[in-house]
Amino acid sequence: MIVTKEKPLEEILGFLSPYKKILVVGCDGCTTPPRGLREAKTYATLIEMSGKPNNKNFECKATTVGKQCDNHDCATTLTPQIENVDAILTFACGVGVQTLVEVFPEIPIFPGQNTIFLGSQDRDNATMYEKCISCGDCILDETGGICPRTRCPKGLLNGPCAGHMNGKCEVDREKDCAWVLIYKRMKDTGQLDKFRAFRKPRNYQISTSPQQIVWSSSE
Amino acid sequence: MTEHLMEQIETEIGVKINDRYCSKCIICSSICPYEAISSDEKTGEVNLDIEKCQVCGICFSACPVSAIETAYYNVDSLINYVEKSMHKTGFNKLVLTCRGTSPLQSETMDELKKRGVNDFISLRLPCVGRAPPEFLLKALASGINKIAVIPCEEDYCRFEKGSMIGTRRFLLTQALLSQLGFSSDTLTVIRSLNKAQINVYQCIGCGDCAYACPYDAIKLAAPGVAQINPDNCSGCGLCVAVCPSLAIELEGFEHESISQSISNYSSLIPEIKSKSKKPVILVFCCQWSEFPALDKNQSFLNENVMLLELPCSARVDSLHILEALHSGFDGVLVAACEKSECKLEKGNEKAEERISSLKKLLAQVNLENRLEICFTSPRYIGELDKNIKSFMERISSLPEKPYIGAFEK
Repeated sequence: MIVTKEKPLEEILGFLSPYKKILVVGCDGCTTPPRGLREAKTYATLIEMSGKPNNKNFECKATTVGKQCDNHDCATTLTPQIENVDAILTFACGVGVQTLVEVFPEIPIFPGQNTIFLGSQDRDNATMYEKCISCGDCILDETGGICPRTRCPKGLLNGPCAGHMNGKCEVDREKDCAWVLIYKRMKDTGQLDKFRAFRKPRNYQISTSPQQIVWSSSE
Repeated sequence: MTEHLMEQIETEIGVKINDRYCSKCIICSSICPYEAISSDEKTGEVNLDIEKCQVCGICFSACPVSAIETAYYNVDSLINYVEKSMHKTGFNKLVLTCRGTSPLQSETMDELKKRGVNDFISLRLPCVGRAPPEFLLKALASGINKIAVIPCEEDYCRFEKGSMIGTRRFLLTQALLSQLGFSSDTLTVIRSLNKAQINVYQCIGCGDCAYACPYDAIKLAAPGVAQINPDNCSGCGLCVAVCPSLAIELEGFEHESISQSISNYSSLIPEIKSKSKKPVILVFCCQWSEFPALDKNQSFLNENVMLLELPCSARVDSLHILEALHSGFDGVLVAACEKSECKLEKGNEKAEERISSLKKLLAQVNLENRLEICFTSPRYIGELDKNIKSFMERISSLPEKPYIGAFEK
């Protein structure tokens, strides 16, 4: 899932202050914590509320889109609702914000949150962990299903380095060394030969931004 | 309530055993679901440990010599209420509901209609187990001709045994009534319980409800939609308050109807403020954390304090709190049961977590002092009033217009 963190309200109010009628759009897609209708309504109310005593009469409407990264979904859901809207505040990830910009080029669109990483969710500890940098050249088959490109701060492909101590990383002693985890996993599953094999440097040529893929159903 | 009166009742306890009448039969001790009543082995004296007592009133209705005095819903006040309502409405049918079964679900309403109970006086008790047969007989004597009792389903009784004991007692009363020549439908019992329902078209399959549910009643089913197992659901409403897409509803406590109540209340604020300068607050109240005098549900406590009852503090919705603050209330107080005493599963703890995270959000616009959670129990009369009073004092001392930095430029 795409892990996000809401922006401070002061920042949001700062960039919304020139506008009056604001549409707050949630996203029911993969953004975590979920930023659906509840989040949109919460911020719509908060924005109106904090404008009032400062003689700023915002008029906010709240709505949500199934997946804001889908331009067709955005267009069909939001087109009937954008009449007379001065600005849109969206609670999608960075992808959703940019999709909206393309669908509604005439309306100013602002992000309500910062997009942080692709991660997994540990419910009991209420914590998200970064797990993938979407490099486009997956080596999880060679590393026991643990990604060193993401989870080793140095992105080493042949680790561990000499900085690990008691299984922890020298960059952050609180965090596990990804390569120690990989070693243990490979040992437990009898794949130490793969662990010992040399991995060539990452091929950056295949992962230059911005990337695009033509997807067609006839393929 | 005047200040003088409030101080007077501060230390009064909700349930007492009157030694003068007690025959030491210890029926109360054997029936108490919380083991709060014990008898001294040597003297036979019966003692009530008020700290253990949950004020369900089951002992009160079981005592054969009326030695247990309760501050809430005693027979005289119940009869008084019935007589007054009969006089006012002209109805002569009585429907006795438990807090867990009210507001009445549409299914129950249909069932009542089927049994010919149409225009009725509604009497809501914390638990139907606290209504003694004496009350039913007195109600019939005073002109009521049909009584329908709606206890919670037995396994879901908020007071452990209240529903079971109450229902058995009603069956005995039924037998007694038929011996006396009353028709068999004079007293009917219909079981019910409010449960959560998912609108699958609105569900986004995030799984928050499935993780939050303390009863293991929700599962994510294919294709990524939450499913409620009604056998496990206890109707606390926690899932309703966590659902990010507002896809779950609890009948009688829908988002829309609570919003409606808030806006109905808030439309009265200008008038109240023109009369007095005191702040106006809204209290979201767990229905087990206080027992106001006969059915003050969804009404004023006094003109500056408005009360909105919820099935459990777990149902307290941050959206409704924001709505209330936005629509003109000076403060919002949430009343939950004391720490280990949630009648459902840790609903009060969940409410506390939610309030503290909402406070962090409100702190960004300097409104965090206008929201508070308090923990009360009906065992001490006036405990909620005391909390309300100190919250009111705090609100009064706050500056009227909160400062928000973003607009300074």
